[in-house]
Amino acid sequence: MTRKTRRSFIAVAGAALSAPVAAAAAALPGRIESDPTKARLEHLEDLNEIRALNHAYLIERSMSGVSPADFGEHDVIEIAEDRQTATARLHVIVHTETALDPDCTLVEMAQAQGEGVVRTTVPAVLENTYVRRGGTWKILRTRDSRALA
Amino acid sequence: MPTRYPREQMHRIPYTKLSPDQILGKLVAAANGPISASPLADVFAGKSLRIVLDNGPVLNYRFTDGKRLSLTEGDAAAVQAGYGALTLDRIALFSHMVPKTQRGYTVIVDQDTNLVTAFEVWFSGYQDNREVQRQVYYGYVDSGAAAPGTRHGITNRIEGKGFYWKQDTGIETLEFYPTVLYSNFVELTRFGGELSWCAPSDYIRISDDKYVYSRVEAEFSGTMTLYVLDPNRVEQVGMRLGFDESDTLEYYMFRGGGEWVGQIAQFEAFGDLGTTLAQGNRAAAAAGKGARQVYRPMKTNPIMTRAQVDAAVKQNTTLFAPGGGMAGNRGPASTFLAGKELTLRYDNGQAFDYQFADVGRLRWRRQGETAWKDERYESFDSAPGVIMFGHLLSGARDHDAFSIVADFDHGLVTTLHGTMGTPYMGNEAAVKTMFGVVEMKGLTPPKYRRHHFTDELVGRAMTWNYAPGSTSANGAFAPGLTSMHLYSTPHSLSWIIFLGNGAGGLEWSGPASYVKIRDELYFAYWLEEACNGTLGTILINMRTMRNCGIDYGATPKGLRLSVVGAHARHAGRFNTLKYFSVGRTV
Repeated sequence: MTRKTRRSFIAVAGAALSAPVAAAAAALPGRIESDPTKARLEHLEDLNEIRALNHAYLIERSMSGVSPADFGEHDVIEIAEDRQTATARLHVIVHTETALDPDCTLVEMAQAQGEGVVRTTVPAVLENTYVRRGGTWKILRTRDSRALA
Repeated sequence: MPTRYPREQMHRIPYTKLSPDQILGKLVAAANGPISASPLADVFAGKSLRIVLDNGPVLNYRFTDGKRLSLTEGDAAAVQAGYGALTLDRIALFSHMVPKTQRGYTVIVDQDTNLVTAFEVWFSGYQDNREVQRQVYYGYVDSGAAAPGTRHGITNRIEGKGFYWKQDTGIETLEFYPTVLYSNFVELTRFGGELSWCAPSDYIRISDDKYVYSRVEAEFSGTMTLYVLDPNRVEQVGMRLGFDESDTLEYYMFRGGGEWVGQIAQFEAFGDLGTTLAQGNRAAAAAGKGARQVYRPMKTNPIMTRAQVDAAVKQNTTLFAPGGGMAGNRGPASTFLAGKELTLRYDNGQAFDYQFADVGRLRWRRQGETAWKDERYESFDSAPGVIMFGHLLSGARDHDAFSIVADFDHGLVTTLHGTMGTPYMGNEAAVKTMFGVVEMKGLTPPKYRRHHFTDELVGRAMTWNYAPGSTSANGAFAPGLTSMHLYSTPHSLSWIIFLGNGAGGLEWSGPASYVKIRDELYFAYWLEEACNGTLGTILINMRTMRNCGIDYGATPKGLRLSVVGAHARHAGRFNTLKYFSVGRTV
């Protein structure tokens, strides 16, 4: 089992990706049913921590051209029952700046004054995998799935 | 008086790399102040001025008379110097050097508002010591009252203007202000008025009818020209400081008058008055006193020998690579020539047979020869019956290439024959224009009519957008690569690169020529001499407002022919033709 959250209910393309994590969590031996209120609180804490992690990540990446596509309304975060792993699908906009080949003076001069690039913006989905180490969530890896956007 | 043409044009002069000691020695005479053909003003004689400059020194001046002053900079000891002053209405400009140094000041004082613009100028501040450096300060004359709340400042309010000036020295120029960073000037007297050149410039607003302009002839003599101008009455007072081609000191004041030659378009948003410079987010931060954007083409385009060019061409020749930065708005390839056979016969005696296999492949041979040569070609429909095409002449000694415009309705052809290498640079193109006729089945060409050189474009400015714009996710629109051409003289063209806010930015210039193909259809070339050496050829259609063209150039990466295709907008015109008439001598 995994616990999944999103702020709007649209197609869940991330479900297949998170299935192995969910299966591993369900197979843990000797599991004791937890207090539902405590579990819900922990889940909310995990979500907040992962969201903060995502926020920090996107702020850092925004320097190199990635920004949230919206306010996280379409993001999907799934946390394994054992709270050791999680996945997220973050809807983002990837901004790219490709410098034109400066083989002419026009481009050379444009670049000298800070332009001379081709700018594109592409919607994308970042598929993040998280691990919880020492009680703290960390991003294990990120995959840019522009084809899925 | 016959027109004096220089032995070498400005961009070809090997200006001496003067040492700081040499400059110091030559500046001894400047300690007495600038000379002036007009009587100097004594507006400051007997007065003292305490000038407070934002982020700069406090300058305490005592003007002994109309020719001598003492200056105390901050807490430094007072120095005595000669100076000169001129006035334009209530604006006074005075200039002096600091004796035994390589620096000085030119100060503009508005006697009504007490506001001041001060240029600190100095030599030996750049690796080419002769290039005058400047730091502009804004401030006021401290009268003891509260400091004024306003300042002079940079502006785009004179961007786009053009003037003919005649100084009291007899020197005549055309000066265009098409950008907020650069200006474009034609030396009618000093260099015969054939070409224009570009220089980093300052544009400062005093009021709506008084401005300060300065330029430094960077990459050339390094000379500074600085003046106050009144665009209404077309009057100027200013000073010139630097070393000419014989390394003689020029330090003089001048008064001038002239004619307003026009106003070309500005492309900033309405309400943008140019009080800041819109450098892009990738621009190198200006660092150090006096730093500014200066285009230095020879820094980024190394001079190659002929042998180096030959080796580079052998290693890599790129013909019409797709996706070139200048071809984003190219039209579709023409199918007109595919399957045709014809001869292009030129008035210089040369003739070439062509067989066009399909769209992209042709065979040619010089008439009289038997062997055909296969080439890749590109072609464009510009106007009904008018085709532009181009190709390399493989195996030619000078890596020759043709850029051809053929008018099949009239049986006329004009070809720009590009060759690589000049006496100055191995990687610099040269070009010859060939006029002639098209001979082919079913087409009888004229006997006497030909395309011809024209000055119909002279003074015009046109923007060229080479790639579609894009809209980002947040709705911001970014224009694609765009420049503006200013057809500055009958023999030169300037290109202007826009800043992010649409203001003109960096600018450079090269020799050019214009051929009239039909009404509103012109075949132009320009040579990026003493630059990256490219020969640009474009067919300008002013009815469809687009061009097609071919660039030809060599770099250490090899030889290339590349496609040009852009959309145009009219940007106005300077009325300058009369200054280029050969009947007019200066």
